[in-house]
Amino acid sequence: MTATVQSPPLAGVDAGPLVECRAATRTYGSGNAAVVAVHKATCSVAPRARVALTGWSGSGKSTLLHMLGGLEAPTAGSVTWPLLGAHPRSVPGWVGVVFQGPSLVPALDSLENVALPLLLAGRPQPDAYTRAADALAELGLSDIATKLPDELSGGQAQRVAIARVLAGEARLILADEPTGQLDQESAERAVRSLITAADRLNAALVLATHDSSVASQLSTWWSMQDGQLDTVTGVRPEQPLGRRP
Amino acid sequence: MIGLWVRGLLSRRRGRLLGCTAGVAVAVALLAALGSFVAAAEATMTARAVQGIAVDWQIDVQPGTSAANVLAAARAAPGDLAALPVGFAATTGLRSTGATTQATGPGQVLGLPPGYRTTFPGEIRTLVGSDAGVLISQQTAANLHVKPGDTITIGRAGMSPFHVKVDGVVELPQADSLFQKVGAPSTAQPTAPPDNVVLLPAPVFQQAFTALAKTRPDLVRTQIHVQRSHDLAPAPSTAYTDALGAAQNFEASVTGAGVVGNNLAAALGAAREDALYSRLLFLFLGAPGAVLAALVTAAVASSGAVRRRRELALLRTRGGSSRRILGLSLVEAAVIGVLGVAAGLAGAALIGRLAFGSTSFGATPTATAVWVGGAVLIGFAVAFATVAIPVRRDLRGSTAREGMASVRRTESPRWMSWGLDLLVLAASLLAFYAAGRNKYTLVLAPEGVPTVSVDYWALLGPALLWVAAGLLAWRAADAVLRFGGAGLRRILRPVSGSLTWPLTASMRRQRRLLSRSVVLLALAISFAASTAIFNATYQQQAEADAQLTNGADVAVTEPPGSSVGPGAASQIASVSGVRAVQPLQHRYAYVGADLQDLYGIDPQTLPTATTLQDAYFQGGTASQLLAALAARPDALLVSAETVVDFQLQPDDPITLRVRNSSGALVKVPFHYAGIVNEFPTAPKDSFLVANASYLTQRTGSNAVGTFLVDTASGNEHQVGVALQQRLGTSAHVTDITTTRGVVASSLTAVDLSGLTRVELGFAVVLVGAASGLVLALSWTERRRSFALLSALGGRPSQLRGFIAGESVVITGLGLAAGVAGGWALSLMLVKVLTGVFDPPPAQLAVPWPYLLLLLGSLVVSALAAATVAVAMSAQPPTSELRSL
Repeated sequence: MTATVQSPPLAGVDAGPLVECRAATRTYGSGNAAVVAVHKATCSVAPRARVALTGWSGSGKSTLLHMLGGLEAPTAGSVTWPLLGAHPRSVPGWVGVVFQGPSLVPALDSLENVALPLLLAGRPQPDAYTRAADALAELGLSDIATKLPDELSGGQAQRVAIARVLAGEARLILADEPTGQLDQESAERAVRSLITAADRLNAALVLATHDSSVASQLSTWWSMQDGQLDTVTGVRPEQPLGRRP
Repeated sequence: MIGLWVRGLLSRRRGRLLGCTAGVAVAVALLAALGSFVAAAEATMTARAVQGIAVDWQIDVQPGTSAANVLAAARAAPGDLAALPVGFAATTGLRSTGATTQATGPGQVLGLPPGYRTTFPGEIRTLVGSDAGVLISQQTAANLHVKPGDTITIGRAGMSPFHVKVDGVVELPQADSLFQKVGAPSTAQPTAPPDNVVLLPAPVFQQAFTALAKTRPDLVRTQIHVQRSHDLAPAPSTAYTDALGAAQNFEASVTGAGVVGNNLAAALGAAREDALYSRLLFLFLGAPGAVLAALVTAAVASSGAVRRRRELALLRTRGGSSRRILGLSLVEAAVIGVLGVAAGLAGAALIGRLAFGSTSFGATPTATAVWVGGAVLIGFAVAFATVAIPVRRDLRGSTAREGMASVRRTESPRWMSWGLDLLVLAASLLAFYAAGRNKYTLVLAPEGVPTVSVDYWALLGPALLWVAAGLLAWRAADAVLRFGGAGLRRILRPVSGSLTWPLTASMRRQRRLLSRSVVLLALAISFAASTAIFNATYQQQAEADAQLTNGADVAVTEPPGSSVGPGAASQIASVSGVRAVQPLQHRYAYVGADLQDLYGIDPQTLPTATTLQDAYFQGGTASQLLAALAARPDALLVSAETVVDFQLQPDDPITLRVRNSSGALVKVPFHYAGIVNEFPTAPKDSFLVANASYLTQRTGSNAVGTFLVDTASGNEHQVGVALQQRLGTSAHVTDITTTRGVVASSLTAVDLSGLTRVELGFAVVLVGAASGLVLALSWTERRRSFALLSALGGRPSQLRGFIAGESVVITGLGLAAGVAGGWALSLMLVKVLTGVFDPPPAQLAVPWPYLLLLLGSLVVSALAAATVAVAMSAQPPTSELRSL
């Protein structure tokens, strides 16, 4: 149950994993009602890694991603970020997150949504908006820059969320089922956009999915089952991952 | 399905459910508590009105009929507890022959049967000497210079004088009604009771006047004084109608042998007007509170609108029919209605108990049913209007896809382009102008007529102004959020830092939601502020009324005919607690044939001992008119009525006839210098104010009528007691604390304080709810957005800045609009309700401590809401993260 993804380190800055889990466990509730979402997961993600985290719905993928991004703390074990040397929440923008569902602020248009993490990271407003516009242009979304989230299709909204990551300076991109609510064509475009963003930023990408065709576009595969992380590095999923066999 | 839905509501939407229930409860509690106020007020007014009556009926036995028969009929009449015959005889004059001989003009002699004073204890008060035997009124005793033990003679027309020995000196507190002209309209009543009155025991009276009654029956008559049961209907209107009917019934039963002077109905008639004013106060002050509670409920309900629409859309995509979905919303409304109504009624009963000492919601069972039924109906109406109707609208107006949308492009409401707010404002001003043309006469309760009328149209002005204030606040908030981005960013940058741009963009797009919060807050603040200012002004004027009646904190009144000069002020000033003493001369003067009270003052020093409001004068402030009086010795301030009657122009000469030190009438020339409406100790009708030094010079008498005494606040009664002890029976001392209780109308003294407590308490709750609850729920509904901000790297300080920025804008705009609206509303309310003020106020009283409390409640609520929202956002709940 140990997985390590190695990538060539970037000169001078990539001497070690971006994030490391050691027997990280996350339990919700207590007593008889306790649910172990992730059980003793041990893994590390190197800079520029491309990881597909596969598993059925409810297998614990989202919880593991949240722990990797510092959004949730493990209830046992540890998660550390050796290269950062601190908790990622103390360095806004270090982790870029793409969620499964609508993750844009409803009252902000596409441009403002994309600029949001930059503003949160303390970038001056003109610079943040320029970079946001560039990121939207890079993903071919300039024409929807002034649209509100409720005026976008699911695929467009997801790509705006990816542009939001692209506009920043994330070293670790976590995508939680980013194609889960998209049709085939939109899903492919979204994954391409994600990989483009990760390449452009020289960032590691961990993508949780239950879609084998999405997972197959990444170089490394981890799988989860009932909260257990399984090291299946280099092995393509052979069956649809969304349902139990 | 219904059970499942209700269980879901109770477990998952507890906050919204509780918020809506609380809103309904507040609306119901406010209405029912006000019902309790009106009930308690009316019952108290009736009780107070009858409490002060000495004799309920004075039945004038008509000439040529048998007094014994009328007396028997009175004793047999239902509701009559006691009836006694009283003789009234006119005397040609009274005379005393002691060290000097003193004589008076004509007067009245009464013959009192045994037991009269115990049956009617309020009619006569002994000042000196015996309670029984021959009694003489205080003023007559002063005129004749007699005391108990002295002998006086009573002049009888065409007969020799009758000699009696005085046993006691008394005061007749209800002389006006005692010597009324029974059966005559109020305009034909004597302007003042007789100055010279002697009370004889019935046997002595018969001895003195039986013969005269035979020769001059026009000079001797009999009245039957009746004490009736005071077990009356609680509502003054009903009690008045009953009292009037009973008297008419009696008059019919004695077939014209007796005419009833109905003091009971007269007192109830005045209370009837107060009762109507108390209802008007309810409408003016209570109804906006209930509407506000409904609006808060609507805001609470609508703060979950996005989520609700999503749930409905989900239900529809799962095959739920519109009818079924509407049914579920009706169930939700019913749950809120039942819980809210129950909580509201319980709260109202508690409030009624604590504030008014009554848990009843109406003066009669019917009134109780109406109040409770009305409150319950309104509670359910609020619940259905705020919960079920929006669902029905959503079902009609949107597809399931549209239902998922949370923020749409915002256009300003259509009514803004129509200028509805300006139209409503114009209508309000028109209604106010119309009420002004009617001199703000809201209540008409004609004497002797059972029906009363209330001009409810006058309510339209303030009601529309309140609506206009809300709409104008909406327009202002919309404009600021829509066009004021640059200005807002400058203001918010210190608070919101790097998130200022997205914050202002977000607020611009959500301005409909935020404007509603601003409107709600503005309405709540204007309601609270106007209520508080109105109540403070009312208290100020009630205090002014007491001050006017008593003259000052303490008044030392010299007996009639006294020659005590201003030098006695030093004796009064030497009493501990006295801060200032000012002599006030009191004379009577003829203006043409009209006898008026004339007051002589020192205009430069009088304000040291009493308060003079600008409203007491016309054509200038109090200090300006006093300066005009001081400017020339023969200056004279007169009443507006005198100016009209005598067509006076400034500086016109006016000659008064005033008694000099030897009692002779002398002509004293004056110059008209200004108009005075009210003055300390002066009557409500016409009177005159002149310079005391000039009056002394022209009449040769510096006799002081009253010394006005200023004391430290709260010390009035003690100083009064000390002064009375020092001066003994040589002067009559009254203090404002005692006078306050005597002069205050039932509306002032008893009930408005309770209403004030309830109103102001509810106002604080509503302002707190409008700011804290609405903000908190608004943020709670957007916790997904805040969770997202947090997930994207937002630090707690940044989230705090975002929330604080929004809070600053809503609270700031709401406060500004609320203060402006509250001020305008207070001005209009005080004007429209002029009838409840006596005297009318010159300016509004602003209760700063309460307004600061209100501001504190507002700030604390907003801060508490922001703190909760920040705490929730800083640690986004797992469920929110997992839904992203």
